[in-house]
Amino acid sequence: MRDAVVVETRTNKNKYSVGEEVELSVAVNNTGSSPVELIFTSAQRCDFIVLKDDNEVWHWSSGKMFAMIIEQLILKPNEAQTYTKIWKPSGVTPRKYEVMGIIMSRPPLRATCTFNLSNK
Amino acid sequence: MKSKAGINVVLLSLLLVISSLTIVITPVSASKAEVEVIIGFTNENQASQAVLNSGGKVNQIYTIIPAMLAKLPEKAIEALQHNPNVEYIEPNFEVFALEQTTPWGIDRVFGPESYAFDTWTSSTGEGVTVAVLDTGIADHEDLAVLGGYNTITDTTTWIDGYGHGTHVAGTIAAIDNSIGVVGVTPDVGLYAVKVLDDSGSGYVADIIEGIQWSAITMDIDIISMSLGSSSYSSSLELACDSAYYGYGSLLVASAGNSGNPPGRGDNVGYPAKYGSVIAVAATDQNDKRARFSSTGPAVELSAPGVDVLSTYPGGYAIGSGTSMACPHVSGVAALVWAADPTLTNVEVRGILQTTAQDLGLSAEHQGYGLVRADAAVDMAMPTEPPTPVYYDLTIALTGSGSTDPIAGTYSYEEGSQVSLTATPASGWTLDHWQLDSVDVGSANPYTVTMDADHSLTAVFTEATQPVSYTLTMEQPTGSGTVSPEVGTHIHSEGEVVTVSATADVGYEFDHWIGDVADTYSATTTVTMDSDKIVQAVFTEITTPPAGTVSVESITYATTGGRNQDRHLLVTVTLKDNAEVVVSGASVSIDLHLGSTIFDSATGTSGDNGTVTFQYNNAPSGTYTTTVTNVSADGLTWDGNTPTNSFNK
Repeated sequence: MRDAVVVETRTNKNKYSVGEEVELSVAVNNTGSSPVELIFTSAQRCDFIVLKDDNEVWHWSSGKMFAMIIEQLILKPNEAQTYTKIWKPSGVTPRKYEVMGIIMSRPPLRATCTFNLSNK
Repeated sequence: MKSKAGINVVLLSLLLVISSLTIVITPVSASKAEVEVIIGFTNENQASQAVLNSGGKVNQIYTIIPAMLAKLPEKAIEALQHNPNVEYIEPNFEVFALEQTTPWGIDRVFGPESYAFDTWTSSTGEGVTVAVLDTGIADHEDLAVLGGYNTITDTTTWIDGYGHGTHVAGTIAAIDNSIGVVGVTPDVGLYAVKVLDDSGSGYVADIIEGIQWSAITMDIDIISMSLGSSSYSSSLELACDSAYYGYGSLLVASAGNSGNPPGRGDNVGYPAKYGSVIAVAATDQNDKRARFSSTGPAVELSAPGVDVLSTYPGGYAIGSGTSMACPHVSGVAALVWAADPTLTNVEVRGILQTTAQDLGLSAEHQGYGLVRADAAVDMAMPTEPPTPVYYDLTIALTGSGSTDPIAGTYSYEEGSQVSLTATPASGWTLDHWQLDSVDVGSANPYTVTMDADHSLTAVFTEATQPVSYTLTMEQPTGSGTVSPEVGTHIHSEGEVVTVSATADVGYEFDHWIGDVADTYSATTTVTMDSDKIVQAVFTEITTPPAGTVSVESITYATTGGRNQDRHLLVTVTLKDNAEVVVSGASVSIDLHLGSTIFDSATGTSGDNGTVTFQYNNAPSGTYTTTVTNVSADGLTWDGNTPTNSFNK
């Protein structure tokens, strides 16, 4: 059943200019034929880490705290859930970045993608 | 003075939260969720069968209306509604609105054998304030919020759009009335501090501001934080420390839900992990650690955190997490603090620790144990100083006399020792004391110990019987005998008893010890006006210098002639210091006739110690004799002439 769950991280664009907001999304999709249950151990559903050569440049959950309640998400077959957060880069080098999107279930589900930040 | 916020009484009580909300309660998957419904039917049998076919159960078939009360899987409702035998299906509304339900966790923290009602007679939290730092608190029929703040928007709009804060608040303070649920501390002053947004997440900066608003601006007693993360923040720690050590607030937080099933490792989150914050772990209805409950050395207390029923926007809901456990502890802390408002936050914390129930789990799992409101409030209730006990002493007397204190009833403190003196009247005597009808003797004064109420009576009797006293003749000092003999002799009062002392040979009577008439007289009297003790003292006679001769006596006689009075005989008797007659001693005398010396003569004493001088035809007249010398071998004459005189 776990193999039927697919996680994907996306940005709304491939290229960004300095000053633009980057929209980060992580989606979890139940590609199987049975319902899938995801357990969350707090109100935190997702997390995003922007990396530059494996170094952390931005971490969405940094400086945040969450309600300590156990919650469940049930995905029916072919049902997906997407979580979106905004990153406003400031004072970072224009270059290619990697972003890891995490579904904060237990266990967590991760996927990465890349995007470019350039001057202009 | 507390002021209650307006409550919008909207009776939207739901039996169980339906699938429209993502906050899912038990059971695990939506397909297993069962709902209780009222089904109106056109055909009872067919409708009943349809219910059974869908995996449901018919609980009751009404006779007053063509309808049944049934329980069936939620998913089956839609299909059943299309059944031709079914007229309508409606949820069984307002189950909780009919009576107040006590969630199992509320029950549990008051102990398995006691009831919340017992502890609530001592404290319901009135006078204490608690701030719920969370997603806010919704308007709810079963909650009364005194005020609040939104640190995200910096406004006073703290309405909960997520549900979490409302649920947490209900565990603390749901009102004790006839509806809904009830909280641990129903009369506590509740404040809503919105530091988390309506997705349940918040910034550390807003949480710090929430702590500041609570501890400093509002001087709130307890800060309850069902929130956290695994990331340490020094500024948050400082804020917590300041609120706890500086402003005297008590901070309580969820330990975290990052525990693993075996409970290994240290995964307690922050702010729970800060020393100034109480970290609360979650337990289930079997007093076991919830599988998700974080573990580690920072875990301080445990509380119910599985399937906790509480208030929720629009009704009630069941939730799990250390979010649910934390408010149980916050609530108990409020009860403790209300029981004794003089306690400090540190002391309240200490009481919670000391009175927690050991569930037999490791400290990393349970901390000090399950929070116990009954024991904690009991410990906090101030003990009243013992009231001093007083007892009565009733003093009385019979007969003639007086007592000190005088007759009457007096009140003395328990344990006092009271001394009483009896003074009999003239001719009377204290016969005995009567203590509570028991003869306790005639000690005077008499001491009573006030260990109970007592009565003490002095019994005086007339001294009419003849009194007798004892005369004790002690063994004499030295050698001799006494009369009466040595021993105790009884005599009547006033009797005059003659006592005498006789020395043995070599001893002489010296004096009496005791009350005698003449101390230096061997025979004297003792007057029996009281008991007397008398003792004779004999001393050894000291021997005079050896070899003394003395004239014991001079005697006269006449002999011859017709009347045997013609011739004069003068006899001198000698004795030595040992009272032995002295023979062979030369004795010289001057015989005086009137005032002239008639003759001087010398003779020698015979064996009987005498020498006789004969004067034939001595003329008539008064004769006296003076011894002029006595010579005896080895003896010295003492020079004395005993008085003598003879008329011829």
